Amino acid sequence: MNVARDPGQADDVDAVARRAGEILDEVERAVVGKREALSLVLASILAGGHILLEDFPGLGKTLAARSFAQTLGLTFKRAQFTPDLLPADLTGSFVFDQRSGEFSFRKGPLFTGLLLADEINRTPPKTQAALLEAMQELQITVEGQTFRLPPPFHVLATANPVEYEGTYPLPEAQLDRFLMRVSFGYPTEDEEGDVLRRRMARRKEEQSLRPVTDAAGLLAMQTVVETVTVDDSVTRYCVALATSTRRHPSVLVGASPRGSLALLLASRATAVIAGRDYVTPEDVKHVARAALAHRITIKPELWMSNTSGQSVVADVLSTVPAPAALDRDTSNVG
Amino acid sequence: MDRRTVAIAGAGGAALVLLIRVATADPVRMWHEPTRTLEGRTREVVMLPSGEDLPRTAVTFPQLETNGQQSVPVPFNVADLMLFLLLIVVVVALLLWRHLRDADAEPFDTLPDVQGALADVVPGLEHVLASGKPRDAIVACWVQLELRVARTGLQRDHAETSTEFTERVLDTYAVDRRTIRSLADLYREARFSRHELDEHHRAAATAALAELKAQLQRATRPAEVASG
Repeated sequence: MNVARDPGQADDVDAVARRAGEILDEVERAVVGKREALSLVLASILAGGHILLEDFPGLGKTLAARSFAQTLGLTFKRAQFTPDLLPADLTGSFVFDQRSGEFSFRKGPLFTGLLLADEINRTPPKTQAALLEAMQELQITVEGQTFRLPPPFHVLATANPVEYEGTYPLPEAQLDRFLMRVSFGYPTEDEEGDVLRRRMARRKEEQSLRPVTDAAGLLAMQTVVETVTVDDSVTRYCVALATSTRRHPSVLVGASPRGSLALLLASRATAVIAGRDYVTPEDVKHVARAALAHRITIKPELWMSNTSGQSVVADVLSTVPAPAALDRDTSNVG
Repeated sequence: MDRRTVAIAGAGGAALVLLIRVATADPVRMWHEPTRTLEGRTREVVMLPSGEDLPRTAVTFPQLETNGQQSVPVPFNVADLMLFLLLIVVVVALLLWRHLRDADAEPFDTLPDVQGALADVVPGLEHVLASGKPRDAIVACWVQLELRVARTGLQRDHAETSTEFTERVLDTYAVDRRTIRSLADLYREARFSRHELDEHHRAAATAALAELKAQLQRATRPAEVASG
């Protein structure tokens, strides 16, 4: 049955799309020329998820996180993960206050709007688990007391894909908790030149950006994303993509149902950024690599081949039938 | 199986036959095998690199009885030679057959006439767009377009989205980008959204179709002028 177009909803989607455009324009003042990667990061945030930025050093991961925090008007904390970082360093701990004679809780960096978890693969599993539990449950338990993390709470974790000495690679079950894995990659020569020119024009190191929205505004944008309609054929397409990764011959463990859910959530946010209140298969294809590639484990005997999560997702995108014109949901007719 | 595979398979088969024959043939005479049997005084005469013989008091080595043949035996017999020739003939026949079959295929330089196909179907599409509810009309219009283009040989792959198919058509043939893209956008809105579509959408699709028709007429008119 046709739903009469709610003018309020249409306006909401348009307003969110405009605001998302402003956010991306503002962030691009700091992070030059990475519009597509930045819009994937913004889509993850609007979908309420966490992002893993996997890139070589010096490509603007910290800058991007800081810029998003400034533009979204969120409190920003940075946690540098080292091999000796303890869970209490993240969550906070009870400290004895001699004046009052009581233990008071000192909050750790997890109590923030946007947390940059730098070099998450340099810290032992116990600390990784503390972070990932906070990401999943949105709460922390310290000495029997539970503290809720006030929304919005988003984590941008970074990892360097090259270093292997002294690192603790994230196990697959933990990688699954990130909605997307995004890489910026090296800039083109023009873009790199632009970075240098902007730095000279600024005449100082720090880049300050205008806040486009705030925490409440971000929550409102996320609520609008929840109203986006998804045709049943597109939902089936998301599921088909995730199940195909499980049946691929090079794959040991494919994407879990979290993978198909990630496709759905991320493609809804992408649709809103594009100004639409409906999701198309193009949106799903656009986010598929970022949302699925890190959830796939390749068979160990293929370590010498070029097979990776990315190549499996590319294979799957070119083989799974996309929703066609004639198999639409008949309840849509009207 | 392509030509190369067939050729390699044929050569491999021939080599295998040759190998089997050599392995099962009579023992090949050693180059320095003596021509007389053990009964006679036999001595191996081994030539040193300098050309001198070893002293004649060298130890004699027992040798196998020889056939006394003077010539080197040929490893093939006639039957095997026939088999080998038959293999060659089969391989050549296969290659010839494939060559003739490929010659029947479409020559590379014939492109499907998408512009012609679109020009044929556009009048019918106007009628499709005008009938039924806007959503159904727009989806039906797009389906007809896709089917007509598919009939010229440019079929949408089942894993391709409508955008990818459109881009492929646009990249291959000189059809106006804006018009086709706006039609594709309207199709996606009709197909995947749940909000109501009104006459405004139908009018937009009709306008895009009219623009496409005008462009196709302009594209075919120079050819008419040239021939006329």
